[in-house]
Amino acid sequence: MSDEPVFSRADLPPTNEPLRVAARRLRWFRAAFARVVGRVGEELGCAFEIDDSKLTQIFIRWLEALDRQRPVPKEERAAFLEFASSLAFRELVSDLPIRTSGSPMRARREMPGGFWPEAYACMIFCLTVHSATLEQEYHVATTIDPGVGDLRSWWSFRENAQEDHAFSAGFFQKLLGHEPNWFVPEQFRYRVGRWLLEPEADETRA
Amino acid sequence: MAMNLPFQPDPLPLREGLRRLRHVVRRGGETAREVAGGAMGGGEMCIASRLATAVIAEMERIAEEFDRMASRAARQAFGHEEDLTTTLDELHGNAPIGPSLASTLYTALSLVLKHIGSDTLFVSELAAREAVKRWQVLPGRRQASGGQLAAGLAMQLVDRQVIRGAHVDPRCVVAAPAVRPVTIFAVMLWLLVARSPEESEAALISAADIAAAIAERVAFVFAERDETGLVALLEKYRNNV
Repeated sequence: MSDEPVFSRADLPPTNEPLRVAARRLRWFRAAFARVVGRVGEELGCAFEIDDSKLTQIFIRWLEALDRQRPVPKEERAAFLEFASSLAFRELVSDLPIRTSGSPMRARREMPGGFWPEAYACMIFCLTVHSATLEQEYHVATTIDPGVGDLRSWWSFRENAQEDHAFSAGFFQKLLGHEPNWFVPEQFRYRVGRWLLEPEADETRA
Repeated sequence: MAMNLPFQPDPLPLREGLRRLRHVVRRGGETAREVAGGAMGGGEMCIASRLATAVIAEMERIAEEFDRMASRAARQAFGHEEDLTTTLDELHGNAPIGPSLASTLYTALSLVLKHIGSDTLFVSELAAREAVKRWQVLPGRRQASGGQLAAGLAMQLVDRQVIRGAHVDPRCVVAAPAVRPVTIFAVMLWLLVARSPEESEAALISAADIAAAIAERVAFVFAERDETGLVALLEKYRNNV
């Protein structure tokens, strides 16, 4: 098994709608989650059992978080789209809707997928939807922090996420190459650094 | 195909009567099975309970067969099938829509009750038809938004007591007082969503799960008869089914 996380749009169910719209529909969200998690299970060599009731509650909480934080200015919407997946990751990790029936057969314990398979599968799900959506909307490829396979970060992530759910949002942002505001990583308005297509980011790129 | 009859009797009262019979037999059968379950060992008690269970099973079978026959007769007489893809927005301003919408409501409400684990309650298609009739003549309907149309229909369904019965299955995922509001809300949400025949049932299940996840809020707006609040909830979640 590779140390690099594998995620591909091919794992997502088909839809006639833009992905940013489809992802906010429970039936597509659930189908996508089941497909991605199933594929990750094959990769790790374990079967995941999904709790649909928990997943629905997570989905509703994610929608609520999006509604509360959605920015009004148009120029911030692209950045918010990029931020949204870290909120989904936070909700998934705070009440994991999957569990494995045994230890992964094909992932070593010192790899993230072997160390914490449930959170790893949720991370791949969020990365899959995130990268496919950004590619579709803005033709931007998602790059992952090379430190993603470092077990020390996963130790720290697991410990901190259990004490403070917001930590998961920061972990995911770091994964995407953004420096989180560790005081309030789940708050879009207090984000630090440059985010997708924000005016200052465009200036830097130019 | 519709039969060209000079006189077309209304088959719904007969169908509803048979459904009630089936419901009563089924509920009685469940109770009898519970009682029979307590009769241990052999002897006269056991023979009596086996006999009762066999008779009830046969009555259930007969009632279900009558229901199927009555449903077929209704379709032939009216020449319509339940339309599980039409949205309330599409129905806006169309007439007459009574029989097909009532039939769709019956099917959808029954499916939602089954999904949330409370098919011990009875859905009245006659009451649904009456609710649709009254909803069609509500003032301001032509100017109403999809959410307002759905909220108006929801209140009519509540008032006509389209879901009947007192016993909520303890395995139901929704608290007993919220079962009726959640079921009606789920079907209204589903009626607001554009869907193909292939995805219709998945959309209904999705609507039911959303309704169950926000059961407290749904039950509150129904209990308060807060139609504005109901419209807001429907509009909020219609794009998430």
